[in-house]
Amino acid sequence: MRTDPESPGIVARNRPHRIIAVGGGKGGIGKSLVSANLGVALAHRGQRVLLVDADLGGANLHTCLGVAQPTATLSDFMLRPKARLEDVIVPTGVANLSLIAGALDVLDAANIKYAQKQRLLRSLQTQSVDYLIIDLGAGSSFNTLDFFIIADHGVLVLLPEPTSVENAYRFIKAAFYRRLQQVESQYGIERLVERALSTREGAARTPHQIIQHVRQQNAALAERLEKELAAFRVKLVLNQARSDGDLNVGAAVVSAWKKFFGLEMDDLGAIRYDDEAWRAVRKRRPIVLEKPDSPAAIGIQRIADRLLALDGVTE
Amino acid sequence: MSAMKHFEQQSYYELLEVPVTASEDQILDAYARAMETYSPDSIAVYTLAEPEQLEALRERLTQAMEVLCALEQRIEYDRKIGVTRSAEELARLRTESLKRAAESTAGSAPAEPVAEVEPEVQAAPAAAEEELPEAEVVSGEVVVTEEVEPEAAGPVAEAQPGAQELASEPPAAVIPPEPVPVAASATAEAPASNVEAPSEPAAEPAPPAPAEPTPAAVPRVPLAAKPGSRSLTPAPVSGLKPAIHARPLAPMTRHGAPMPPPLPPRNGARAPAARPNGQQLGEAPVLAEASAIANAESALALASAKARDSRTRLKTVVDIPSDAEFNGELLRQVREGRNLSLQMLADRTRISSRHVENIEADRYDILPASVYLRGMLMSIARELDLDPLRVSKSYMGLVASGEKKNR
Repeated sequence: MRTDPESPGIVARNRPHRIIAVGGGKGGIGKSLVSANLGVALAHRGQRVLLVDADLGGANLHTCLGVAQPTATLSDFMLRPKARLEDVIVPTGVANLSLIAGALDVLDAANIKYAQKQRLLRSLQTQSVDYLIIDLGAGSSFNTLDFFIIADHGVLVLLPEPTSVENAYRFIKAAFYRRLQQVESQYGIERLVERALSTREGAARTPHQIIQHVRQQNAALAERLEKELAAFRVKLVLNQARSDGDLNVGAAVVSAWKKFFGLEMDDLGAIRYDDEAWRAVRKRRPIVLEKPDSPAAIGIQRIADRLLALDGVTE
Repeated sequence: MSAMKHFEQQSYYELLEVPVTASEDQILDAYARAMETYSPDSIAVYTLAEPEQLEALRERLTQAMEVLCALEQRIEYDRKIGVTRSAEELARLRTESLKRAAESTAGSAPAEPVAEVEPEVQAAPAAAEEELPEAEVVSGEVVVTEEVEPEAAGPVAEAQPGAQELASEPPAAVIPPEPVPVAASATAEAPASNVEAPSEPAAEPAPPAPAEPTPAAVPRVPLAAKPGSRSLTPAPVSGLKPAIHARPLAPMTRHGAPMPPPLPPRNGARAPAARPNGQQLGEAPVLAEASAIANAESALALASAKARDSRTRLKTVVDIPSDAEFNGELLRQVREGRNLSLQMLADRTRISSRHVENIEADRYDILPASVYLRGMLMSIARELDLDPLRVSKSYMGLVASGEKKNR
């Protein structure tokens, strides 16, 4: 989402080549599975990958990877002001792939304080790896959204089911408005945006309408804002496609999002529903390693390739 | 602003998500896809759009498809939005359009022969024959397959297919409310007429004309042809449904009667000779009669089978008379000819099986609103390898005339 280098945002020197955040709103849709396997796939392609379990309330990325009880977790970092993120990185047994496991304790990590979150965000953004993959928890809370919107690739996992689609739209809209809030303070247009959002239908506003509104006051600002918001370009992964028709749901969502919300989205591809997938989870092994030739694993490999292509990375 | 345009501000090309260079086929494909994506039960729009918004979008999409698939209108539209085309590109579009027009109207004695609309059903065979070929040619030149404005609907007058007239003919098709020219029971049809004399499948698969000496009968079952086969020649008989390409009786019995003669036949339905004849007009649904007619018709059909073979067919493999009226019954037969179960068709098109069933049963009064219905018909046609535009126009015409009648 932060793709415009000119934008008055965070520009860290020493930072991951790319940050991928995997979200989707709903629980149980395979966010952790996608994160873990995407991590493995990218690592296999020679990328240095750091996986971060930011599901602050229900971490289990380590289990997807077969890392038993991690010796250090995110809560070690959060609870000790002096700790460095590097201290809690654990190996995964896969070359090029390391992990920051999620907080396991019931310390209400889901409700971390603002300052803690900022510290974590800053630390994440300074990791010098090729890919930092953040596995988000369910829901659309700010603590989740803020990780999503710092990413270069906000990946939205979706199942071809109304419940998932509903949560997905809620999630990206929430992320969009969260992003808008950030941007507006950078541009000093809070009041403009606030007015745009609060008039009558309120938050039902689309980016187009918001910009129209801002344009009435200040055309130049509107121009910049538009550029900024157009960069909010979510990447879609359709999981558990059970029929050929399901394979088209991603494209349909991209089309619908554009027509009704006015923003672009990228369809990264679909992952077939595959019995091997849950078998692999039970074995606590990433399916990309366990059954590389299964339809699900192949789907994930393709997604990894597409991401690399988008980033212009050649192996 | 282009980045954030809403569909209201999108051009027809943007709406359909096709490049301005898109061919008619691409446009139709895109349209079918869009109608699926924006069908009321599409998962992709769940909670994203209100039903009214969806409906508005579908209307825009249909409008876009209709304009872009009528070359003259498309050129006009291009001018409006500032799309310029090179001479070569224009030539390419024209060629495509010609080809398509030829395919979909081939043999169907395009509209104009309307002259025959005249009640005297017994169109002189000879005349019909003569006219047909010419009509075909004409249709070839005509670009317009459909038109938005209803205007020309009425006047049948000069049968002679001038390009302009052709242009005017389609409107009727597009605009649903027009009563359909009803399938003609070709009964009286001169055997000689090339017009595909329908044999009547109707409800009871009337055994092909008992009367008929039949060698000819055999070759005519192309419908049963394998779905994949693309040959233009009639496929070998599979014996399944003898009378398939026949124009089903149903529509006629149902809506046929009240037809005002002057209406130009709607595109799928235009069979010059095939107009309902006087006698039948009045007495609609008498089953017995229907089957009698069916028999007679199939006999005629058999006789004309040979002639038909040489004609250009729908690009769809299937040997459906090019003037056939696509009612539910015919769709069902094509589906069965393809060895598709209703459920399979429903799954593939992602249309609920209830709708498919109602469409096939011609239960017009309980079908979804026309905006949805059109998309469904096109999906079904596509799945059955039929010409989507033709099928939807033909069927929508039936629906419209059904509505009228009920009123």
